[in-house]
Amino acid sequence: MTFAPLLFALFVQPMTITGPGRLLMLLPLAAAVSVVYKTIHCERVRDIPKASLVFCLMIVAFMMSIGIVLLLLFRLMA
Amino acid sequence: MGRVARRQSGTMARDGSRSSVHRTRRSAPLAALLAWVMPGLGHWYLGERSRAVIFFVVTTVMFWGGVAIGGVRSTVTPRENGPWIAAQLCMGPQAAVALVLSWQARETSGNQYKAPWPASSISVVYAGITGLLNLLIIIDALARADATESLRVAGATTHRSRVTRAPPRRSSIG
Repeated sequence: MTFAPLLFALFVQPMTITGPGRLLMLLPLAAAVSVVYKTIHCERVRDIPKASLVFCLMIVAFMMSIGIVLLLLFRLMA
Repeated sequence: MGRVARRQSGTMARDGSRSSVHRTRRSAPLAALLAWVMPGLGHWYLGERSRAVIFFVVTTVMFWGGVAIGGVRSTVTPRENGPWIAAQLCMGPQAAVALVLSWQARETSGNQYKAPWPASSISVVYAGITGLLNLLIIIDALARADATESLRVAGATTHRSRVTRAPPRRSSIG
């Protein structure tokens, strides 16, 4: 019963996400995808952290570059 | 067979390196089912315990993190999120628990705890992507179980052929 208000606050009440900070929500998702992908692919478990970090940075870099290209296209066509 | 004995009977991995995959018989469908019931449990069953812990922690934190962002009412709702629910249900019983909580929240509070945009979309994507990641983990558990079984069968065949092709012993008499 003690945990009920905490669980209610955590999982029932939604968060309010505003501003450009919502782009930061991409980072945990990219990290999770890269960790799971590299955990499947790496033969040795000790290789996973480095490979995941590199893959996560690649995902973020490519998504940022795609976003910049789309923004430029939008500005040019406007 | 004790744990030490099972460790000593470990097979070689695909690249020839030592792996914790056991040579004992492992059922691929059971590994997949366990991976669906709890992310990582299929790999635990196959002897890949470090991977199992990583899978469990990452998928569970991401799924419930997604639910925490948008609230359970907006995240796991089959009527409003359409096909995303199929991806979310790949998380197994955790998604079923979230679905039941979502129904309860709707019954008791209606739309009071419905998340505004963009929290609603972000939470649905988090939970859906995590479900799809667990689908990948299930497929990996299937593939690893099959690889273990193939190695086991190949090992048994090699052993049998060595036995049958063994050169005849030369007699020391004469």
